Amino acid sequence: MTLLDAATDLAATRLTPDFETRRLTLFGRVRSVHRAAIYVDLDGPPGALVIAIESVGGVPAGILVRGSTNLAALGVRAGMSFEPTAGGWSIPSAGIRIDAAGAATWSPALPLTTRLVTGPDLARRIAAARAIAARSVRSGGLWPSGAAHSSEEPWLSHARALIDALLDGLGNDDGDRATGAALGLVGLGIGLTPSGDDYLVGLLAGLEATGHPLHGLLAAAVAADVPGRTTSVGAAALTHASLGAYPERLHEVLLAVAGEAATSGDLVRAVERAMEFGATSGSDTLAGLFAALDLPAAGRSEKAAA
Amino acid sequence: MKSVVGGSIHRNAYRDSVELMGIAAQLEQLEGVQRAGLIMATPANLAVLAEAGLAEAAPPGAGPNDLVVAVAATDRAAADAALARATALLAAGSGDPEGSRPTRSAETLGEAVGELPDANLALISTPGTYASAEAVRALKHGLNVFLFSDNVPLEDEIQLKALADEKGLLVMGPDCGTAIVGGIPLGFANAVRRGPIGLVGASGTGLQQVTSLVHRFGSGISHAIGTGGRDLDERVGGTTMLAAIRQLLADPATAVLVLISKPPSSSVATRILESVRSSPKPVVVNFLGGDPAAVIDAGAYPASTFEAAARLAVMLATGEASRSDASDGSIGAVEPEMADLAAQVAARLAPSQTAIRGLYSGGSLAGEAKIVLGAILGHDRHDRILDLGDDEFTVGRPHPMIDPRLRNEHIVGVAAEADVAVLLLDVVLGYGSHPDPAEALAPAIADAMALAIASGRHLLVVASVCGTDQDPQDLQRQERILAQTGVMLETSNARAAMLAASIAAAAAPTARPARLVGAAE
Repeated sequence: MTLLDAATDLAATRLTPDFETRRLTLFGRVRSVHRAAIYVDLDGPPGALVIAIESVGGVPAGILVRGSTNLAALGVRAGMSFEPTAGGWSIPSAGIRIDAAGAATWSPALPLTTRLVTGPDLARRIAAARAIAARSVRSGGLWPSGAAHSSEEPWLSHARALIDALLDGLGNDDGDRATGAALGLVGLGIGLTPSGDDYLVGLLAGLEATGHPLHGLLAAAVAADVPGRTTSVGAAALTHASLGAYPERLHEVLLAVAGEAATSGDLVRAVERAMEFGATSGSDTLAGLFAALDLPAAGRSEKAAA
Repeated sequence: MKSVVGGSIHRNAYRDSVELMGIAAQLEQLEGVQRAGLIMATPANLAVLAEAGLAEAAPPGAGPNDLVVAVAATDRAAADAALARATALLAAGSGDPEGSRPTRSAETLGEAVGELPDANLALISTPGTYASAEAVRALKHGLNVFLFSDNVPLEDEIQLKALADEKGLLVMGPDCGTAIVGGIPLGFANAVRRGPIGLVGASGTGLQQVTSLVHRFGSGISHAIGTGGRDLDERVGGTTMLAAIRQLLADPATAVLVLISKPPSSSVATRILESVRSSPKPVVVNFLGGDPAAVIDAGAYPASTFEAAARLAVMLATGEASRSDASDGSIGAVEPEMADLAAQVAARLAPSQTAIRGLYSGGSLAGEAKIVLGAILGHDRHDRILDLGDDEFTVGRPHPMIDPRLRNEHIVGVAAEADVAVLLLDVVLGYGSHPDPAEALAPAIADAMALAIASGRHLLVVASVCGTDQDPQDLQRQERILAQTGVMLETSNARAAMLAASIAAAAAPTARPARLVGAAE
């Protein structure tokens, strides 16, 4: 192997269906570059896309690629242009070509099998999933930590109060209280996707899976409120979630919790994989998901089972 | 307790939450800092800042994609120090790892190879005493080596390079500061676009200057391979440069080669030029101060300065230059506009002011300045060009590309030298360099100018910024700060040295006059 053997061709392995049909319209600029993902601001809808390595799993508005395990090492920089080519896309300034020829499509919509029906088995699997997740929680995010610490960051205390109001509103079918609190969480917290955004993505997935009566109201309120309220990466995640598009790692957790996993090992793997995403993004998302799954079942089990 | 609030904004800066919390914790350890936080400037976060009494930390216009550093401290100096520290930590950070947990450190080279079986390079930066053993291990694992360490014995270098040659691998170094391999910067390197020009250099800042200028001229770099400063020594024999030339000649992404060095020993120069004699790709050779005739004889293109090398390489890559455009390799003549400017500013100098003082952070840039000054002014002068990155200045101190304090002391000191007309500086941007070098130098430059005026003199300051618009330090901002301080900026080190020489020539009528473009020989 000589020193100069550097791979610059990436093969797309999975695309969301909208990208397959609109491939030639996707022009944009790189917003940020990370080991596992490159975020691109698009000139047109859907506003942003993400190029991710395969181990990340499917993501809404995403292109999964093979050919690198470290996208940060390819010479791609923020501001570089992203454009379609005859066979896929390229980031010309970095000499990166993405070949779309062999890519399969993957839908970010929750499969029907993730629809949850309440019962003792579900409660047991949710408890197991939460216990698995709790083993790898890192400090600094929205994972429930019992009593608030006096030394806690001000944003975190603020977020916990909003979450209490949000869950109280959802538990009591108080749409105004729930949406008011949810909108307060948009853009709240530190990092690439603020913790409040991650929490809401997980919460919306959980509400959709359980057929919560306030899911539609909350999703519409979030979709209307997101522009200008959070980072572009957070805004993209929230917009997709409000339209029912979620990352594959959330699908996997919901499938496992729904009893669709073949073995208990699948539940462990699904939860651990979801927790590994980002610094606190994984635990913040699952905190929102489990909070939704914990809501009182009254009035929705019948609908969910229908 | 009374607090002073400070804030700074970092546009489009993305870091993961754990890294931001880590930086905040470090800031809170600083003396006088009561509270620190780093958050994205979303409306929700700004409201929390306001509630915490830190509203003024976020300047107007901060948007959701901007990172705000907010600090409450006991006094202004402590707040400012914390903000500067945050800037440095953010610049030094990886910027990763949303989408991944931080990578676990491997304890040994073998463990690292086990975790990354596809790796093909090891970067070694241990103290020189241990570096050779690590480099041998890396070579035995089939890895190319970037050997940042200095103080590696010459005998070790010879043996390491022989072993690498036997295995078809490269040893870049020892004391190798700069490389760009497949778009990945190693050591001190600039953010440049990828393109058809491949470099091999025994010169760190020389590689930085040429790669940055290639980027500015609109082309890009396939690979830039550092060899270490002793590679072209007779005893080492140019082993790494010869191997790198072979790899670049075989590399399909490289269309033009540029070789950079101080003049090699005669036998090594012969061997290197022989290796490119029948090259199907154009080869530009910049052996600073070397003999251009030998280069022309080998069918290569001589370039007298880093700028000339970059310009010629770009023209060859785009087909705008051919064999008939090859120059004789001499230092370019001074343009009339530059000579006019020099005459104009020289009129402000006192009669005693005729000398040039160069205070450099880059050794190769200092070397280039000496050659340009010598070619224009002759050598019988009192000019002095210091390489402050040389071992004699850096024992027990960080390199001046990282820490400006030593250079700042020298800059202020120059104001007391009555014979100095021009202070000549380099400012090197890129990965590894100071996060805000112009801001760090500007107060010392302003002090030096003011001190000279107080003594009835004008101190002229000429500089160039080696960097690109993609460097983390923001090239435009660096140039703006220097220009606002009163520094005369040129686009390359060679041009800065030419301007300094032209001013000195205009200030000292007895000196050899600067040769003008178009003037009769």
